[in-house]
Amino acid sequence: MRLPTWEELASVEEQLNVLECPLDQSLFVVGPPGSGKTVLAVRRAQMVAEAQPDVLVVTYNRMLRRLVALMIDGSIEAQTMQRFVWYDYYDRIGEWPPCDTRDSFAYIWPTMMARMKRGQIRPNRPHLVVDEGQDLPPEFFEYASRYVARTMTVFADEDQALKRECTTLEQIKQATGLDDPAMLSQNHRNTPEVSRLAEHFHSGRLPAAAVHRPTSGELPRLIWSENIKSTMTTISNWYQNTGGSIGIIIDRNNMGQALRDGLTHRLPGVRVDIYTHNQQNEDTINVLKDGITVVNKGSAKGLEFATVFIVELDQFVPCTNDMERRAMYMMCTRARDNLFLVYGPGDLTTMAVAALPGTDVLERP
Amino acid sequence: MRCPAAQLVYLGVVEWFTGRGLVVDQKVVFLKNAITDEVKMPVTLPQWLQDLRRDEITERVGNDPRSVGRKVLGVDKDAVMDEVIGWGQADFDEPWGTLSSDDRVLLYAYFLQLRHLEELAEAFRMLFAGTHPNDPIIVDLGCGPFTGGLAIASALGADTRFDYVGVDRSCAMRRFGEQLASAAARLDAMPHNVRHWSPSLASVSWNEAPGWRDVIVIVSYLFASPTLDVAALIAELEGLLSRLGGGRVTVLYTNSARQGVNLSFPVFCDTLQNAGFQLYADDTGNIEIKRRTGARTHRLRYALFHRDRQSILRLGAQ
Ligand SMILES: C[S@@+](CC[C@H](N)C(=O)[O-])C[C@H]1O[C@@H](n2cnc3c(N)ncnc32)[C@H](O)[C@@H]1O
Repeated sequence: MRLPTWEELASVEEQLNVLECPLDQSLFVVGPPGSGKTVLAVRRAQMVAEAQPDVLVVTYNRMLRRLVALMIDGSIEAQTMQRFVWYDYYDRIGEWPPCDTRDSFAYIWPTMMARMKRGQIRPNRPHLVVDEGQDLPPEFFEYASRYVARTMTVFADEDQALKRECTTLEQIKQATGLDDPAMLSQNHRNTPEVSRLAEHFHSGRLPAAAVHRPTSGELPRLIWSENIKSTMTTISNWYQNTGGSIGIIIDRNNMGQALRDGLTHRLPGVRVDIYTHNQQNEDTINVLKDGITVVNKGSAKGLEFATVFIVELDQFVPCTNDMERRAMYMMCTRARDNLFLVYGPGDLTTMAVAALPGTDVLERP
Repeated sequence: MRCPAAQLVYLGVVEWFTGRGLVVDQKVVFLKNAITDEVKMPVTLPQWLQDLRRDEITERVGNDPRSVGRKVLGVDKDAVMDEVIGWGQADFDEPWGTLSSDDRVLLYAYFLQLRHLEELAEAFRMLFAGTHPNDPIIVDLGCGPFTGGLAIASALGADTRFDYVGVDRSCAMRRFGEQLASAAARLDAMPHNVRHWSPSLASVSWNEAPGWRDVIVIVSYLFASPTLDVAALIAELEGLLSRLGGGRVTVLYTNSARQGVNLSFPVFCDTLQNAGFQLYADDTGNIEIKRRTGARTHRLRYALFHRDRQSILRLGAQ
């Protein structure tokens, strides 16, 4: 019997090289948390921009738009989908886009598309780069590929979709005519410990990325907190001892506001920001700088912090459906090094406790 | 893809391979310097595995009050192969005469498993000479009593964690498989191993999210049955593989060298190649065995397929 050896079969790590893909060609990439989608999106936009200005990066949430803007340092346009479509449509048609009367954010796409068609509108940008594409409606992809740019680079991960009605990869493919997506497979962000906890909540079909960082020896920790004051003490002590960037993920904005106020008071001179949808204050927040950023789960998408505190854990577990599991998965993977799940003052329900992994993955109080 | 990213990846692989002497445009991929030379060292199973077989199989058969003279478990030795275990193709879940289904499985392990075990152990010894996969998932198709699992455990050693997915339509086979597996775990031969038993590929319960772990598929002596629907089997295998993730997949096929039992092999081979596998070995050959009772040579049919990590996520139709 003669067989080759495993060593000879195992090829060198083959990853799609997003940055080597010709710039005049469309590209569809899926990648789990930590696989560098945003960095690659920005890099690709910058490379296109060197030859052709008018490149546009589009995101769904405003905090991610802000992060992209900070990374590209104003050299390229970055917009949320809502805002971009609002002005784009106005520029092309001379009217504001029609919206659902109850919700000014819900565009009436069929009417808009018909107007664009009648106006014989043609794409007017060389390239459109989309990050976290699963959060944008399928109609946007149709609008974009028909009327905005013929070449598109789309990054997506439906396993992190927060809405029940997320856009599937199939829908993106169909709306844009893109080919099947290439997969990113390496996680350079999370420690293996953080990744293991996140994977506990992972559901979906995209393979979790292989973690590249060495083990840190620090398991994510479950923390019981008697009241908001003790939560603040925990976080401010952590900041004083460790520093770095801290993300606090909350469920209710009044909790976030209280944490921000208390922490600002306790940590004079330290950046403590809260982003809320009502204030739309993302442009005053520099998430790349050390300090504390309070966000709700919807705005946490795409961001990363050295340490993450998920407070109000009782609002996020037990995950009774895939959508809630995806939210936990997304929130946990925001943490590069350390992750704390905070609950209290009441006990977690039996179901919530059962939804958490064992002590080999999550340290208990 | 409109973007030749896939092509880039492909070129990378070819370049890498050609650097090491791969001839690509042939059906069987020859790694010129790579193929392990015919190993002259005879196969001996590790001591724990010999002990395990003695405790769980040979002594149980030997000590059974029904085993006297030419009879094993009350059945004439000459009748066992053809009638009781049907050369491994019997319906083991049915009792046979005075024998329970568990008796039939025990006799399978007594008469046939050792040989299959030695062949697989030898194949894995060659495959893992040098380095071996870390934390792989083993999918054993028509697993019988944990045969592939024991062979893998002996080749990987006690320190390597692996998941074992044993698929066998026979409940009695799976039951005895788990008995052998727990005995091996008790002997510390595979302390970090997790087992998942299932009657079919489609019903494998795999709760982990898809990842990039290496997968090794074992198809040992499954193909004797002329009724086996190979294309359907591979379609089901693909279904499981996509649930496991996008990692590398190696398929090892072993069987008797007799022509008649390999009739489905060409279809198997074509279907795997259509699914992106490359054929790395396809031959009939010998291995040398050293048993307590003396040395012997086995002749067997074997093949090895391999598929690299998936770089594209294949989307279904809308
Ligand atoms: C000859 S035994 C081989 C067992 C083991 N692979 C070995 O080498 O010792 C064949 C096994 O395949 C199982 N089998 C046959 N057809 C099958 C099928 N369609 N699906 C699952 N298992 C099957 C039988 O129950 C039997 O245990």
